[in-house]
Amino acid sequence: MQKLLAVIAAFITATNAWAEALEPVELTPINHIPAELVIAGPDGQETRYSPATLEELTTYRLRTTTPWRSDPAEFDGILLSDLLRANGLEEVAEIRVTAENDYATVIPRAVWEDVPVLIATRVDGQPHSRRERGPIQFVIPMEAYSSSTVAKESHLVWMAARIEPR
Amino acid sequence: MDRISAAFLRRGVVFGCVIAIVGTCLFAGYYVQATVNQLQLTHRSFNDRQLRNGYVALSDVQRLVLIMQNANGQRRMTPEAAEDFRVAADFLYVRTDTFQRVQITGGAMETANDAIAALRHIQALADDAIATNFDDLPYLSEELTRRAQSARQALVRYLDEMRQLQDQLLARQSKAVANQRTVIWVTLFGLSVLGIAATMLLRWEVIAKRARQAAEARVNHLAFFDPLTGLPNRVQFQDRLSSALAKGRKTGLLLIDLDGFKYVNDTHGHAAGDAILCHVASAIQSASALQSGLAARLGGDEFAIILPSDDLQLLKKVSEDVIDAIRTPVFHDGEKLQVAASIGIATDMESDSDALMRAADFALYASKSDGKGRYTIYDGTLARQFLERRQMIEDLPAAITNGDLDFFLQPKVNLQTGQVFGFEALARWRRNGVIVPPKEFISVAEESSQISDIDCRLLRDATQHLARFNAENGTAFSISINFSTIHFSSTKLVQIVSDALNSSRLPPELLTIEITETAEMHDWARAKKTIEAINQMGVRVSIDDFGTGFSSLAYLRRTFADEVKIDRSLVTDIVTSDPSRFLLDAVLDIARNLELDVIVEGIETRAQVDLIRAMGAKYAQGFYFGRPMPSDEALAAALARNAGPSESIAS
Repeated sequence: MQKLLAVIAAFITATNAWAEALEPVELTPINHIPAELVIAGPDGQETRYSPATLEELTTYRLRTTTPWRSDPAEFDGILLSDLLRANGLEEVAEIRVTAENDYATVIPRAVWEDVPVLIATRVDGQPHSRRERGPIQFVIPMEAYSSSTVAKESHLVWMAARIEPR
Repeated sequence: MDRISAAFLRRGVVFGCVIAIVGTCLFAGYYVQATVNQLQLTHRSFNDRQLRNGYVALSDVQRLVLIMQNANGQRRMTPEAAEDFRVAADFLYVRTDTFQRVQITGGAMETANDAIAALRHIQALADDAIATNFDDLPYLSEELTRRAQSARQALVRYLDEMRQLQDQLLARQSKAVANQRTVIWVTLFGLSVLGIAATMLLRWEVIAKRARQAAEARVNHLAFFDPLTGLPNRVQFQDRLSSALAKGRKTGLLLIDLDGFKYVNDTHGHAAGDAILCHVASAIQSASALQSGLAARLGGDEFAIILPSDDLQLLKKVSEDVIDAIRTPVFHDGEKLQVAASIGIATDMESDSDALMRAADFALYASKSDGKGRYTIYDGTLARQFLERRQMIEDLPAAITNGDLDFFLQPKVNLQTGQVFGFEALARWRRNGVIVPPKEFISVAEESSQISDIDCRLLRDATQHLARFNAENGTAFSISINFSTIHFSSTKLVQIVSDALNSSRLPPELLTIEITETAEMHDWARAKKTIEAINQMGVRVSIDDFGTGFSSLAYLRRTFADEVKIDRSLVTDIVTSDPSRFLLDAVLDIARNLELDVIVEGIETRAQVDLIRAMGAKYAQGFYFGRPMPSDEALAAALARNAGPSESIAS
């Protein structure tokens, strides 16, 4: 029992630590690279987001490396969990994410419940270009990503274009 | 199994087995690990991301070429097409970057480098096209198509190598799985063998343990119980008796001895004897259980009951019940067997189990002496007798050495002539000025193993006395000496008789050794050898008390006797009883036919003399001719008798 409590405490501490890594931030509007993220709701209704409309949700800043960046960068964006909640998808078991280049992956709910998944729309305060794996990129703090047993590299979608429940 | 057990007792074998098991495990582990390592090596060179990079790169290149060729076909690049081209160029850029990073992580491959270089070559052209705002579409289209062709070839070579790697990976995976399967099979087989061996060893150990426990239980049972009857044995009996007395508990002891058990054993065999013993055990067990007592078999036909009471009425009641129960006949192999029991009763004797045992034993002896099949309580009277007997045992050795042990002579008469021809020497003990008859001390001497000394002393003294008398008076009286049967189990008697004859110079034919068969005379072969040796010296052998107890016709057949002495019990009633007369006549007839001399004992009246003489008896002995008398008196009387007229008997 004590062991279980210790694990829960460690989990809470770790989650808080990652939460601290993601600081809410107020973003001033900028000219984003044109892009669109379509969310298909539970009823099939589609909602279209541009980077700017995405930033209407609570925005966070995250400083981390990614598998393609050896030097850390500051990513700004919103939480995947917030976006899903805003579209009534927080209880779905899995989501299917498709990229502009037709790449597709499936992300189980355990991932966004286990680690914070940031949908970055800016990098280092600048519009997120495609050559920087923008304009809409899924980013996970490297520490959480490394320690998670559910988060995979395939979940780190760049040029994200569509989210739908599975 | 015993060999395996013996082998595993050796440290070397156990050590060897441990080394073999550990070695096998290490080898199997190394074998699997080596395969896995090889697999990981291959996997590092190949993974699905790299494969996907190749295909997606082809797609990205194709996207660029299509946009360019469309624009060239329309001879203008629309703004929408230009935007699509920029996005496609971005796709290719990211793809090439990803390709490069994965390639660095996964390990350098020449075909991958070629493909990446070809992609960068296209990327550079695309960037130039964007930078120049697509001003030379025919050139761009042709050049892009050419570079795309080179990139396609490079990517195909790369993908082909990746496919080969994939094949290798699959082959190595298959091999790894096969190796693992082999290892698993070998491991399962080894574990099965070990499991079976362990199970068998465990079973064997359990069986051995059970056998050990059974043997221990058996040993324990044998140590404290009689195997035949299942009753507690003497050891447990002694423990319980000592324990009860030590705790100061009221205790009554019944010693039980069977009457007639030897007869059953000899006549019906040991199986019948065993049946009797079991019957007795059951009887005393039931009787003792009713009173919360302990029944035990002390050995042979001796049993005992310890009761937690010194109430004489209760002890008597239990004794009567036991005697009645034991007397109940037993049927064995269709034959009816019956024995009786004599019991000695004693109550606690100041916490001394030995004293209690001796008292009960003495009471048992009294029961036997008083006619068997009864019980006797060790009381004040018996206690005095017991003490007297013990005193007698203590006094006997001194009596033998200092000459207090004397002998009387009783004449034996020739019925033809009426003359005394010899005597029977009978032991007498002059104790504190009183003559003690033999029946009072012979049994004591026998029980205390002093009878040999008495018999030897009597033999020596009587032969010397007779020899001297014969020499001095010119007579040839013979002398008969009774010997206890215990002498005949040893050839020492031959030397003792020889020494007596040599020292006395009595002619051997004037010495007669009288023997009485008793229950104790078991070793007939040895007894026969002793009797033969004595007989060969010229000494006569006589069977005493013929017609009673153990002396039987069968006995005559297997001994080398010169004469029989017919017991007084066959003579007592011959004057008044026809059957007695017929019986005596028959015995005399048998003895004559066996060419044995006959001496009729117990003659007390003239009528008896006339009758036995009429039957053809030649020799007689009894009060009628003379009681046992001091030797000098007896010899003087014999001289006087022989000097008188013979008609006194003949008529």
